[in-house]
Amino acid sequence: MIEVKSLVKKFGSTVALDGISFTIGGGSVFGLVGSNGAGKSTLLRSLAGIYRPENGEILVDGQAPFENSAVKSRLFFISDYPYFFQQASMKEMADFYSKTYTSWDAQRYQELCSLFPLDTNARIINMSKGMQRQVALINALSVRPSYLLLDEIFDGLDPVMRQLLKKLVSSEVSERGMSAVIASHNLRELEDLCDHVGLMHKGGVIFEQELDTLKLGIHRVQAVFKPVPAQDAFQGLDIIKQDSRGSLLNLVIRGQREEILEKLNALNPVFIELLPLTLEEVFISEMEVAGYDIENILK
Amino acid sequence: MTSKISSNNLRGELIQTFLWELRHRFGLIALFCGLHFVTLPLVEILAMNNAQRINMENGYMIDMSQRFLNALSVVLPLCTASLSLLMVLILSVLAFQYMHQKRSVDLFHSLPVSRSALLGGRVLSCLVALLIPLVLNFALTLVVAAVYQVALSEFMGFFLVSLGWILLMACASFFFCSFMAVCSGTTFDMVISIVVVNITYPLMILLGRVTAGMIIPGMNMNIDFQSVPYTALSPFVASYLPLIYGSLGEEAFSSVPFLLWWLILSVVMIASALYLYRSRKSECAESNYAFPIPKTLIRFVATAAAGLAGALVFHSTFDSSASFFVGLFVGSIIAHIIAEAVYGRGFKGLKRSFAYYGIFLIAFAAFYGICVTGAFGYDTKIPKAENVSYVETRLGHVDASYPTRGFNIMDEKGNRQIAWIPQTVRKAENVEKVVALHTLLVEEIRSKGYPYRIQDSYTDVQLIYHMKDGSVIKRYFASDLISNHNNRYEEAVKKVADTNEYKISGNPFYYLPPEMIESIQLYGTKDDEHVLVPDREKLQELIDAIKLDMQQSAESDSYKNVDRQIWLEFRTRAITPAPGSELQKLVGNYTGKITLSLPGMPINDDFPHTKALIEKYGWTEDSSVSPTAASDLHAATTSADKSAIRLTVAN
Repeated sequence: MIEVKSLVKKFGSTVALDGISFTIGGGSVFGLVGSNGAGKSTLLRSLAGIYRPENGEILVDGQAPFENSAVKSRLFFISDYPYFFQQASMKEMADFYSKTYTSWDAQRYQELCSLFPLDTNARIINMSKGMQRQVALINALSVRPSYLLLDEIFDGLDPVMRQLLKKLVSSEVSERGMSAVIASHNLRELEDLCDHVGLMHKGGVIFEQELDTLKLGIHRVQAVFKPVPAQDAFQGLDIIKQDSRGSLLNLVIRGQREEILEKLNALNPVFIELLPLTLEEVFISEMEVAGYDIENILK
Repeated sequence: MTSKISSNNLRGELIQTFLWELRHRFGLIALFCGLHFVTLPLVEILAMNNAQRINMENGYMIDMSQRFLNALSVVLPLCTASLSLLMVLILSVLAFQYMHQKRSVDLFHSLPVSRSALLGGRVLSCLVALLIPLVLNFALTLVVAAVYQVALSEFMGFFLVSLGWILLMACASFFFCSFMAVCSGTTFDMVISIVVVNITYPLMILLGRVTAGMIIPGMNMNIDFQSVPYTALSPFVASYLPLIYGSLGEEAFSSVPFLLWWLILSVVMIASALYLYRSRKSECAESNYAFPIPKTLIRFVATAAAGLAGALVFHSTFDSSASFFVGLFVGSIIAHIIAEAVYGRGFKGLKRSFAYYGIFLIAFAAFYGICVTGAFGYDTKIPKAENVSYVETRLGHVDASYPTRGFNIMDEKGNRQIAWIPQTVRKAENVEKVVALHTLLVEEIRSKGYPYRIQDSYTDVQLIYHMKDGSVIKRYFASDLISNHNNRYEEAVKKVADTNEYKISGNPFYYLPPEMIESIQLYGTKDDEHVLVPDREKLQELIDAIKLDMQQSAESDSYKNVDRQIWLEFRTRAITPAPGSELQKLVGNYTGKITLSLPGMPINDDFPHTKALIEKYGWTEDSSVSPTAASDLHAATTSADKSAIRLTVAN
C-alpha cells in the first residue's frame, strides 16, 4: 500500500506538490490525471524515491522510499523519457537490471521479448520513441515489481502495443497483486485500465476515487422544460456545468442517478435523459470547477 | 541487526556498482595503459637506444644511468603527470555525468542502490582505471631499466617517490573532481569549475603574496611553491610541483606539510562528496549548481586573481598607486562579469550578482588595509639580539662583486644539492650590529611614508633570524629605497659587512681544500688567457692569499677598483671531504663525494697578496697552457698522470 500524507515538494519558490494526501491500495491500477504542470510527474518521482519531499511523507508498505534500497527494490519507475545507457542494446540493459534487482525474472524477460517485436541486439538509441518505451516496459515487468510507476507510458505506442500494455499490466495486477500508478493525459486508455483515479491540479489533488464510483456519481443530463424553471428550482442539485439552448438544458450533475432523476422529474420536464460521462468529460468538468478556464483557453 | 543488514546491503550495492562500472572501463584502462606506455617506458627505451648508438658511433661512454634518470626527470612531470590529470578529467566526466542529466537521474536515483554506493562504486572503479595503468607502466619502466643494466640505486628513490606522488595526486585530483561534480548542476559547470579553480586559486595566492610583498616592508617576496597555501585548492597544479622540484635535483618531497595537506584534503574531499551527494537534490540536474559554495568560491577567486593581475600589470606599466586601483577594478569587474555570464548562462542575474562583487571589494579593502598598516606589526617586529642564535645575512649591493653570498655543496655529479652554506653572523656583538641595521631599516622606511604604499623594488637585503627557541624570522628589504646618500644606513651596513664573521661564513674559499681545484683559468689585463694546473702547495698559497686579501679588504669598498683587474676562474673536481675537516662538518652525515661551484674572482688592488703571488709564479706569462687546451686538460686530469701535467704547465 502506498500512503501519501500532506506531501509538499517545492522547486525553489514554486510549490509543485502542495500538501497532497491519498492512499493507493495493493493490487490496484491508479490513474493520475491532471492539467499540465499539475505535479503528476513530480508525485511519481517522489513515490519512486527520486525526490525527497520537503514536508509530509510517503510510505510504501510503511517505509519511506527516499534512499531506501529495500523499498526501491519493490518499485520500478518508467519516466516520461526513459533513459538507456549510451550505445546500449536491450541485452545490455537487461544485464544491468538483472544485476541491480534481485527479483529479476530472466524467464519472464524472454517471454516478454517474444511478445514485443524488438531486436534485442539492436542499439536502443536507434529505436523509435514507442519502441524505447516497449524496452522500458519489458525491463520493468521482468523485475516483477510490487509497484509499477509509469509516466506517460502510452506516448508513442501504437494501438496494438497499447492494448498489449494494458493486458500485461492487468494480468500482473490480477495474478501477482502488483499495483500500478499511471500518469497520463490519455484518459481513454486510463479509463480502460484504471480502477482508481486521482485528479491533480496546481499541486493539489482535486479528488481521488474509484473509477466506477466516480463515473456513477456524475451525470450528463439533457432535459427539455416548458417553461424553463427558475434557477432556484434546481437548488439541491450539485450542478457542475450548465448551459441552455432555448428550452433544452444541458447539465452535468454530481450525485446518484435516482436522486437526480427524482429531483428533476419534480420539475415536470417534457423530456429528460441521463447519459454516462467519459473520463475525459469528467476531467473537463472537474477542472472547470477547479478554476481551469477551459472556455477561454479553447476560444 | 538492522544496521548489519544495512551495511551488508551497502557493501553489496557498492561491489555491484563497482564491478559494473569497472566492466565498462576496460576499454579506457587499455587506452590509458597504451598512452602511459608511449610516454614512459617507450621514451626510456628510445633514450637508452639512442645512448647506446652514440656510445657505439663515437667511441665514448654516455652514463646510461644518468641518461635514464634525465629522461625520467623530463617525462614524469611533462608526460606522466599530465596524462594522469587528463585521465582524471575524462573519467570524471564519464563517471559523473549521470547526475547532471534529468533522464539519467530518473533512472539511477530510482534504482535500489543507495547514493553512497552509486557514487562510491564509481569512484572506486575510476581509481582502478587511473592507477592500474600507472603502476603497470612504472613496473615496465623498471624492466626497461633492468634490460639496459641501469643502476637501480641511481634513480630508485626518485622513481618510487614520483610514483607515490603521482598516485596520490591522481587520487586527490579525482576526489576534487568528485566533489565538484556533486556540487555542480551540469557537466559543463563541473569542468569549468575544476579548470577555473585549479588555475585561478594559485594565481590569486601568488599575486596576493606579491602585492603584499610590494607593500609591507620586510615581507619575503621569494615564492616557495612547496608551501601549502599556493596550491591548497589546486590539486592539478600541486601534482606537478614536487616532480618539477625533483627533476631540478632539489629536495623534492621534503615538504611534509605539503604531503600531509594532500593526504588530509583527499580524505576530506571524498568524504564531503559522499556526504553531500546523499542530500543532493535530484532536481538540481541540468540547473546551474546543486550546492552554491563552489560557485561562490570560484567567482570570488577568479575575480580576485584577475583583479590583482590587472592591478600589478597597470602598476608596472604606469608606476602609480592610482594605476594599481584602476587595474584592480578593470581586471576584477571583467572577471566577475565573465564568471556570471558562464555560470548564469547570460547576463540575466548580473545586477544581483554585484552583491558578490561587493564581497570581493570588502575583502580586498581589508587585505589592502592590513598591508598598508604593516600587517599587525609585521613591519616593525625586530627580534631581541639576546634571543637570536644566528642570522643568515645578505647586505645587498655591498657584496655584489664578492663570492661571499653563500655557496652550494653539490653531489659528485653536481646534480643534487647536499647543503647550502649561507653567510651567517653568530657572535653576540655582530648579531647586535645586524639588529641595529634592521632597526634602522624599519625606522627609515616608516619615516618615508606611512601608511605604506605599493612600490616596485628589488629586495636585496636579507636577514633571516634563527632564534634560540627554534623559530625563524625572515625579513627582506630593498636597499635602493633608502640607501641613496643615507650615511646612517651605509654606516650600519659597513659595521656588519666588515666583520670577519660576515666575510668568512658563506665564503667557499675558507672551506676549500687545494686538492679540490683541478685547474685555474686566468684572464690577464691584456686580454690574455692562461690555464694553470699548480701543485698542491701553490694552490694552498693561492687560497691563503685570497682569504687574507678578503679579510683585510673593506667589503663596502669592493667597487672602487674594477679597472685593469685579473680574473680567475676555478675548475673543481669531486672529492670526499677529509674526516674532521671544516668541509666535512658542513655536509654532516653525507658520505659521498662532493663538489663546490666556485665563483669567478676579480683580482684588483684589493687583493695585493693574491696579485703578488700571481706575479711571483709568473702565471700571467706565456709558459702556461693555451686556452684551447683547457678541455683537453680537464679530460687529462681525470685520468692521466697529474704530476706530468704539473711539470708541463706550472712553474
